[in-house]
Amino acid sequence: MNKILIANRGEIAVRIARACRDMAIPAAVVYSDADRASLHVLEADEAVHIGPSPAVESYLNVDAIIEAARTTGADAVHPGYGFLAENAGFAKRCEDEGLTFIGPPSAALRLVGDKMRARETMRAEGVPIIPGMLGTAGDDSECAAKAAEMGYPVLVKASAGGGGKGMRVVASESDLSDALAAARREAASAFGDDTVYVEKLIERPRHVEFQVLADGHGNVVHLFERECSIQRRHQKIVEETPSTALDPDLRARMGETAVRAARAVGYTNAGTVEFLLDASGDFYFLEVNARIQVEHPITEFVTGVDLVREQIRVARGERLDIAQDELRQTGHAIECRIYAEDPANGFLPSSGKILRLHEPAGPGVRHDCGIYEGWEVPVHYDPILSKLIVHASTRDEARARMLRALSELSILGIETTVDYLRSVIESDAFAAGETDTGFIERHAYETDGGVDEQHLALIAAALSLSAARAPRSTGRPRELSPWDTLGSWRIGRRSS
Amino acid sequence: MEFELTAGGERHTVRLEGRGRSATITIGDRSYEVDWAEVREGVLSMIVDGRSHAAYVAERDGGLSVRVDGRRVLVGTGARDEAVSGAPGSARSAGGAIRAPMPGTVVKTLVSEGDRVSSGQSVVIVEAMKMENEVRSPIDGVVRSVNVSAGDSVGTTESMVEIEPSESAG
Repeated sequence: MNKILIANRGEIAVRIARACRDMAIPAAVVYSDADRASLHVLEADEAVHIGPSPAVESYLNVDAIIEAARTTGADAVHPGYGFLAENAGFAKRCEDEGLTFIGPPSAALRLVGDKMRARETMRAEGVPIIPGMLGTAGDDSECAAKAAEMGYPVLVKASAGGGGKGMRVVASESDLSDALAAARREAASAFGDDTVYVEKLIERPRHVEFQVLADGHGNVVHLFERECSIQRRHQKIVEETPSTALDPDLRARMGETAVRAARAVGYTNAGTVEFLLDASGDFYFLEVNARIQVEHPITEFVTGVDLVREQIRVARGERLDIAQDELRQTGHAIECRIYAEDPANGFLPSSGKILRLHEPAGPGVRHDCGIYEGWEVPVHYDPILSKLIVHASTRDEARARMLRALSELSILGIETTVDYLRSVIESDAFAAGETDTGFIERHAYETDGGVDEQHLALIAAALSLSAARAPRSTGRPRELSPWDTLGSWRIGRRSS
Repeated sequence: MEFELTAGGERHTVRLEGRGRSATITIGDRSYEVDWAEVREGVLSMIVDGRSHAAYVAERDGGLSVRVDGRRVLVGTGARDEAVSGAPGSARSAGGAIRAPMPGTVVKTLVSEGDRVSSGQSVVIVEAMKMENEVRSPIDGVVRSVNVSAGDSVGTTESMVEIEPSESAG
């Protein structure tokens, strides 16, 4: 592999570029009009403009990306997550063009990308699946018949779906046709395929997924679980590993099932097998995420394996150099996703300029960041700004470290989920490990802090306003720098 | 110097006395001795009664967004009425004009001219950042006009739907 084209943007493009540099492989990136000044462009070795801001004309434009690979001389493409990452047509096109697609083969992608076919394949392999529609997708009346047969509430899902897009919980029959229409619209816009189906809603489940790695030589291992139950709008916002819900026996059974699922679909490269785990300890196959996951760093922290590096190695045809019995979970890791969203206003997306950015650092802290101070957050893409990940020897220590790191992280200029996440990590329910997918709906959130914080903020505001009012030359308080003490001088001349 | 500021939905008179790095700040019946420095633009070091705090300050919605001790607080400076008091929906929808909460694309309009709507009812679906968001009416009333249709790009300033508040509202 001589050069890798990264067909993505934001924090994940930066993450992949770093892996490339660690392996001394040049990294080329692509960018849209809106992303000319984005961090992934600044961090890359080469950058190619691929089109206008809307994703369909740039990051989803297969021809433009293949062309970018040609012009840069890249012989491999890393798709990241989202966009074309799980697009079998794109993977096939790369294969046909002689480019190495850093991900599973297009045939495996096609199979797992079709949620209904994947469910049937898993059922045939003895992997437990959620009750619901099998075979072809139905029209409104068939969906209604299946929903009535299973009983409400049900879940409408996009067959091509992922990330909660095209998904709707339906409580009663009267809401079904609206939900189907909305899910089809969202699915068509996000995936270009409006096929939806209906399955039984498992109530108050945990969302537990297993990381797998598979090489092209028949070796498949799992790298344990990630607990991803804390979600809003079916999108994860806090992930941790190990899960508080698994004991060694359940972990071993789920891990073995995940490996079986990966083998069943002919999977290679890094992937994730998602399960729902109910209160009784029964688990059901949900889907295979055929890509590097947003939350991969928590697995990297506890296993010590660089997953993006392994993706590149496997794609080069190398063998996995780790065996299942050599893999260990060490300590506890938590990730918080930092989104440009307003938690006080229904998690509405927020766009604008990043006016202040202070990043956390120190032992056991990793900040996978896609933004910088002065950058304008575009409205065209997923609102993820960065991911904050911590590692410590126990869950309590990891929790304390996450609170510390969230306190250090300051992003001003737009609304973010930072303070909201802090309230989640601080909560008694999270401390007790009581996480299920209904967590966010039950979690109460105070936006403006207590009196002490408000007074400190008022003090800072008053001082800041007074500093802005004071003319620069008259005693405006600030740090003395060497320039202040040098007296008058000019470059290249002796001062007079 | 005196400032009329809001935080947490309450109005405060904040009095600042002193020169240079030392200030006495009075908020209501509490007073604070502050040793401070603006270490760079928008970043303050404040030692308040012996306790050290870093504060990050930036303009937001006509007021100031302040992050101190790991908490973000919106401080209203009176620069733009109540937009800073934490109710952006109502501020943006003043006068019965419903605006998009963020720039995006109209997916669907859910009401027509003359329709009666109630507070909290969805009137327009706007897609931004790949998510569909339902924009709701903050008031009871009758739709006076619908100014957008599916596929339109909208910013946060133009009125998408005008609602005539009903007489009984309030």
